[in-house]
Amino acid sequence: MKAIPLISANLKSFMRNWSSVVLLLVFPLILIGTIFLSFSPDGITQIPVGVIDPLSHPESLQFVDASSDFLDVSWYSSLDDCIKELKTYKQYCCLEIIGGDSFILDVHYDNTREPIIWEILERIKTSVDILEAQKSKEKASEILGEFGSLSGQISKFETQVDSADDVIDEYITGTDNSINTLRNAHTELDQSLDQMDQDINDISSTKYNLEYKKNTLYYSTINSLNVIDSYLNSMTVADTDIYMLNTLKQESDDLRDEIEDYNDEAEDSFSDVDNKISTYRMTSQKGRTYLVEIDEGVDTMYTTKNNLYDYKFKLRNLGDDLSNTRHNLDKVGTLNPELIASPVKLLTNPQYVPPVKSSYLASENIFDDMMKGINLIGLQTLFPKLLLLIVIFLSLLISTFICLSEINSPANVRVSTIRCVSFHEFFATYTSSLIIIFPPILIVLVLGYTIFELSIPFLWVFIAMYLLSTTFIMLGMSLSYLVVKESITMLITTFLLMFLLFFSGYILPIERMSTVSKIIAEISPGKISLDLFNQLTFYHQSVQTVMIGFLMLFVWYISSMLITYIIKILRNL
Amino acid sequence: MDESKLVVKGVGISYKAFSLSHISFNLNQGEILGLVGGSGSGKSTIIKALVGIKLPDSGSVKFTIKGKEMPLNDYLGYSPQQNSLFPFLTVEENIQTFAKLYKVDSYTAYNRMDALLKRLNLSNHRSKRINQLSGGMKKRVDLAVSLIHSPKFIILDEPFNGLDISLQKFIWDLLLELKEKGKMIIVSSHMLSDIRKYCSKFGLVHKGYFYNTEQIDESLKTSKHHSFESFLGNLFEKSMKN
Repeated sequence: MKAIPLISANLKSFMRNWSSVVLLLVFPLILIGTIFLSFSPDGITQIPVGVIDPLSHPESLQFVDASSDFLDVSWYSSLDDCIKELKTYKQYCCLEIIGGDSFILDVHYDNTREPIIWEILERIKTSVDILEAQKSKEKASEILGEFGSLSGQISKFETQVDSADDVIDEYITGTDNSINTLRNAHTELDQSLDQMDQDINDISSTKYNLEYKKNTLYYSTINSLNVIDSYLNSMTVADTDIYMLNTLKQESDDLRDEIEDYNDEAEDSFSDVDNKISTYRMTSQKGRTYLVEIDEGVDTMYTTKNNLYDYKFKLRNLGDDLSNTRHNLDKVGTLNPELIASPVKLLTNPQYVPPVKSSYLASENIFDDMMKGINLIGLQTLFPKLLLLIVIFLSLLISTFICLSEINSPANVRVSTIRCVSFHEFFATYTSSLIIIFPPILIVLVLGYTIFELSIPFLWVFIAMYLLSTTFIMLGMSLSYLVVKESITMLITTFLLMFLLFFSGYILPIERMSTVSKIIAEISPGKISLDLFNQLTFYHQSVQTVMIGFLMLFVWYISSMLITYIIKILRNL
Repeated sequence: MDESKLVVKGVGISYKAFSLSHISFNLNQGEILGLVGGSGSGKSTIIKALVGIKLPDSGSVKFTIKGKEMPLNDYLGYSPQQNSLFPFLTVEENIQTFAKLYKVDSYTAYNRMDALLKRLNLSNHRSKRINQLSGGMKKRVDLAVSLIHSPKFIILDEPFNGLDISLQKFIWDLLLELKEKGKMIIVSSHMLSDIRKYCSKFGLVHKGYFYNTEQIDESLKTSKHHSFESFLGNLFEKSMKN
């Protein structure tokens, strides 16, 4: 294997060339160490900001106290003064506290200092959120107290409604009883009247019969008397008999008179009876009128009863409404006071929550604890970009250096005369670069594991880093084969490095790119590796889940190797 | 003897505005071809074409052993004009590295290295890095590296540049020794007298043309110049006038 002596020569040459070791290995390691050490575990600290609070709200002091970990507050009498300082880069933002019923923080920030300004604003927002949560709780608790008393009053109303309901029930029962009584009275009266009408009709009929009989008797008697009188008058009788006759006549007249008297008396009696029947009929008529009135009274009572039922129904509805209102009030009582104060609330739930350091847990100050937790996550999420930056940086520069050293090495003239050495040279350059890059990457990973407390799945991350590193080693080698001149190659490499960092989304988010650029960035090996690292380390995704990423990196790995080797062959190097 | 032979026929090479054509010569075992020509005449270009660093535009270069064509580079010991060594490696490491590249087994390589270092007076400097050596030492190490695999065909491009007389003599002695051992050698040099003295064949590169021994002999027969030196002097004089 001709590659082995070449690898050995490359590595020895590299390690014995102090300038290359210093510039490409020691310097990057110092750089890495400095970068790591430069990130304070306390996160952003002592950021100068101006506060304008002419009315000296007590909340502003609370806010400043809560933010003292990361803010260096200067007090200003006017916003203009603060803005002047902001425009001379002495302040990052001006926090104007607006008075009134609410505590409003009007933040005027320097948006030329992205992205750090967003972190500062995020911290300020966190502090304000804490204050807001406390205030909301207080306010909402007051409101909830009032809701509690209102609920009590509603309970009283409910009891009163229940009592009214009972009273209406009693009225309804009473009305029912009255209706029944009236109905009974109506029935009895009706029956009595019917009976009496029947009796009167019988009496009337009897009277008519009697009157007929009396009239018949009277008229027959009168006729008989008239016949008798006529007989008597026509009779010629002796003087003795005249007396008799006269007596008879007298007797007849007396009888007639008696009959007439009797008839008159009978007529009077009949007239009395008629009057009485008439009076009774009038009374019966009145009785019937009473029956109608009783019926009307019953109807009225029915109407009243229905009205009572209606009232009862309405009362029940009212009772139900009161009950619902009380239930609703009771529900409000169980709600989070913060949510009552701010009903429309954005709740953000970060899905990556690393274990908090035991020292943080020991802290009694929840604010400190939270800030340190945020800082740890901030550093952990920064780590993949740092790692990949280092991998890309080292791969590209070291491979370029090794390849150029080999191409421009005096020994290369002789090496190139050896038959079939081209592939061995290629392999040796690649392997030498990989061996040199390996220790710094391992150191960075170990630093990430120890300092940033990342639980890195080393095997798969190593495979991803190997594929990425190879791709960029090949890129460096391709450039070297194409340009050959050391100074120009290193210059182009630096520009290319910037371009690649941009298209890997390490400098600016690729989400801000146009569609075409975004597509290119999405398939760039740097971006794929970043996603792979994040998925494997932060969310411990299975290898099956991230297999597409590995395959894409593998495609880059193979294609970059092929292209680089073809360039080497074409360039006859 | 393996009866190896080099046949160069009608080779033409061009590089940017420069071109050389009609390069033809034969070289047999135990022969030294001296390649002469003015500065920038194309001696090194011819050598690069022979060793395969530059591909010729036309013609052929055939290396045969017992009549069978073999890959030249497998039997080649090449020492370029500039020392072709790993500057940060020691003398020993350079020799060992190339020995491995030439597929010489470790034992043989070690023995040969020992012998070569002794022969080239480098035994005391074997642990020194190349960038710590003088020009003469570097050239000797370069020769050692060129010979570590005991090549049948040796090409030395301007091996005497910057070397003192004694060292030049030392190298010529070594080359003659190798010649006696049946090696084919091509040496390019400005040292006309030494070339004339030690080489069995000549190659003259001038104004884009290559003149081999036969052509030079023919010219000498027909021209008024009866010596190689006067023939060359005339050629250079003409070119100066042009």
